[in-house]
Amino acid sequence: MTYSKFIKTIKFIFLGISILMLVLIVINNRQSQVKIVGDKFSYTDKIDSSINQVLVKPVFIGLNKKEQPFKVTATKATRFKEESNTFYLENPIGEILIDNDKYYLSGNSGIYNKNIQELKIKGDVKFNNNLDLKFSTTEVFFDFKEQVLFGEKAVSGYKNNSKIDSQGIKILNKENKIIFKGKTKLLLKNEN
Amino acid sequence: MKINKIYLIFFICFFVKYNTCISQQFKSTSSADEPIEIYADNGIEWHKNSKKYVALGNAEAISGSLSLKSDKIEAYYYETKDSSMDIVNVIAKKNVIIKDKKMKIVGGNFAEYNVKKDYFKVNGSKLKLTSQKNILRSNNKMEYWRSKGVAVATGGAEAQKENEFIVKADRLIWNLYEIDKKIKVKKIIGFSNVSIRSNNEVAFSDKGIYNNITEVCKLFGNVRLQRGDSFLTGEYAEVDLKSGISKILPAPKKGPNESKVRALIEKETKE
Repeated sequence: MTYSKFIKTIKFIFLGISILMLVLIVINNRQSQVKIVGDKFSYTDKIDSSINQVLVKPVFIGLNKKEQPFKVTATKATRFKEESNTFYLENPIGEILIDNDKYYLSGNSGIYNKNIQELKIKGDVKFNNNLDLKFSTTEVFFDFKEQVLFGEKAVSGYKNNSKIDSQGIKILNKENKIIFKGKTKLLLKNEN
Repeated sequence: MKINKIYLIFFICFFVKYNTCISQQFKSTSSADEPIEIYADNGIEWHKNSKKYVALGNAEAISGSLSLKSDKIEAYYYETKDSSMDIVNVIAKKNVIIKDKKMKIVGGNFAEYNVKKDYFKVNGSKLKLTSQKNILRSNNKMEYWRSKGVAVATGGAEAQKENEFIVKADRLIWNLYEIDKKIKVKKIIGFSNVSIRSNNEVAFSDKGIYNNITEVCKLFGNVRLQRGDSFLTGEYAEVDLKSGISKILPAPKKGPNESKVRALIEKETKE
């Protein structure tokens, strides 16, 4: 069976179009993925690097220096090839035991470094413990190894009727101490 | 000397109690009822083990009309069963300034405030309490029972009313009252080595009571009135600072509210 020259040409043209369409689909898909995370975390430099892994509802469980367990969960985690130990998280939640206090952290986005065991949470960050102690800020770090929670952004804390506002925070496990940094205002209401 | 101290403590206690029960003119509300605000430029530390807050750098604690300023403030709390915090004690270190309505204490290196008792203790070598036209100084310790309206200066105590007079003693007690949201001096009581210096006269005694309303100062024990080179001595004197007339009189046998003072003085005179 022989085809005319025209038919042969059409065959190659369609093949070329289909390849081009596939390439465009792949590019478009990657661009939309970056957009989703891009407004929460600025890692635009990673556009060109390929995504190694995307995890849905991941759970990271580990042990700190004192062999106390910690848990980090998120709705989605993205890992890039060149940073195999770093996970970019969406809606992360951390459960951390600091001495006898269990702290719960949550925010819009986060970065979890598995290697150094550090979690950075950004956005509408909230963290609280079992003792009605609640904090809100825009960025907080947690060093699981040293069991230190710290942040350099404005933070507000609440406990019953009392309130504290400061320019930063550092929660030290060893001394069972919380340091509110910079200009700070504390309002204490006696309950009696 | 020990007995004297006991009498003195008894007298202060009596005086404080007396002020609470009878005068009821000092209407400052206790800070235990009001919220406490603490400010600091260099942060606040919360020491959960020792149950305290430490405010660093230009620290200030405010409760109602009362404010306490210092380089460092430590607020100790008591934790109730429902984990709420009641501030029980506040300690201020370095450059202490206490303000309450129109009253001000400056020059303190250390101050302690008991919230429940509404009581201040301030230490320093150049303490100065200012209230309207009156100044109270001490080179050692100043105490202030806020809701009871009593201030006590111990050690090189000096009370001054503008250019009218200066009272000096080892210990001076101010009886304060409140009018139109201003704290004013009602009485000044001096213990040990009392001297009162007015424009034209100097009087010395063991004890002295000055009434700011009548402007009469009553002096008890080893009284010496000196005007220029001449002087009068006796056991009791009344110095009218308004008229400038001073009288040496027999010691009063009974006086309203002052019988206890007299008893105290007699005890010390015997020694």
